[in-house]
Amino acid sequence: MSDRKINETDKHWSEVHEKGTSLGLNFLLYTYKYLGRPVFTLVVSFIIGYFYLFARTQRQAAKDFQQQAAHLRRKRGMAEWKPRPFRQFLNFGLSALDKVSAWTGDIREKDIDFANFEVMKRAVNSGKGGVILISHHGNMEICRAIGKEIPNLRINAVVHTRNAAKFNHLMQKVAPDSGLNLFEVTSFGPDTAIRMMDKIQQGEFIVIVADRTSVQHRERSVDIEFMERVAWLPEGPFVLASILRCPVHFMSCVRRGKRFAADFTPYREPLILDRKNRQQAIRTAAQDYASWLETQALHQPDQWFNFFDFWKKPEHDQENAGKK
Amino acid sequence: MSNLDLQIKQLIIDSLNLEDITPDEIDSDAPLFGDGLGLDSIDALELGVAIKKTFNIALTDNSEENREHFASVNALVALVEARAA
Repeated sequence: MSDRKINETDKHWSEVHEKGTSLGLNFLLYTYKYLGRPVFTLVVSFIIGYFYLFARTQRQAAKDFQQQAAHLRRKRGMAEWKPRPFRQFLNFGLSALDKVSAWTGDIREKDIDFANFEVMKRAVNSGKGGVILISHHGNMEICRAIGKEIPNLRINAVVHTRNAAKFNHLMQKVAPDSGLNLFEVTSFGPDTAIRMMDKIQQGEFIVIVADRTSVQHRERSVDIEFMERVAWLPEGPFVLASILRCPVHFMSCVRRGKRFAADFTPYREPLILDRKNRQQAIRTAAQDYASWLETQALHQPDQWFNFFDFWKKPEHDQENAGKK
Repeated sequence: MSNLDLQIKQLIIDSLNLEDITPDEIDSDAPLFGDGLGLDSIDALELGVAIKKTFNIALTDNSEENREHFASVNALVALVEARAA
């Protein structure tokens, strides 16, 4: 590493510490449990306010995102959007509460306006299983509430081990009976692929986050257009979805006032990446997802929970640069 | 050409959809990746899954190790012979 001080804005998302995630989660849980939502909201506002003031990189990223969203909404004749970077921060903090409420069962199926509920129900009950691509827009965990309405739904969320341990610990605490399975992936090869295939064969779903480039393999990213600027998505989720030879769906869930709005969009069954033209095929799939995500994000720009420069090209860090 | 050799070549063709290649066009000694057949890392994964399923052999995610097993058709034949149940 050279002695040049690395500018915070140059960092890959994985190097930007998510200050809100690990901070006193227990403290927040207890606040909610014993003092209720209004007090919780107040406490979160203070904490988030603190970060908003001091997390310069994240604040800049949120401002940039808000301005681009406002610009595009104007251009596309949507209702005027006033850039709200602070609101984007605050919503991130409040989404932690919604997560807890969803785990503990305080948010019910009736609180969600589900656009394609019947479509999802059919997909689940078909027994074909599938891959569901999600993002850091909105709060997917709310969809746990629909689990009771679709008893056959079995979800395997693909996660990195490091975070899984933390999450499992928390889940044990707040919702010991939750049926959610965390699928830990540290390396990816034939063994992991087959483990996933087994799940799908049993009609289960593999949920993969598709909007952040890989930590270890930054070169495995594909350029697409997002909100009329070039951005990069990881190749992995699309390659994986294709190897599993199963139905592929996009899904999201956002808060709308006091209620939630979920969407489930079937994409391909299966996703085939033509091997003669593979790179282009991956790009096409990634672009399709990016366009879908863009529509979602433009409707609710203040629930964009990527607090880094989303349009920055992922570069290899020093360590991996030579190993490609 | 041994039976297993042919079977593996056919598996490569089927699992990767190499319609325009026949088993006898694949050299058992030639590298599968890069110069030889020109397969890439995604092919390797697909092939790994196919081999694992067809022959029911243990195959880890270790890419260094797999690279050796997948070096050529001959290497795959050796792998299957050594590990087949």
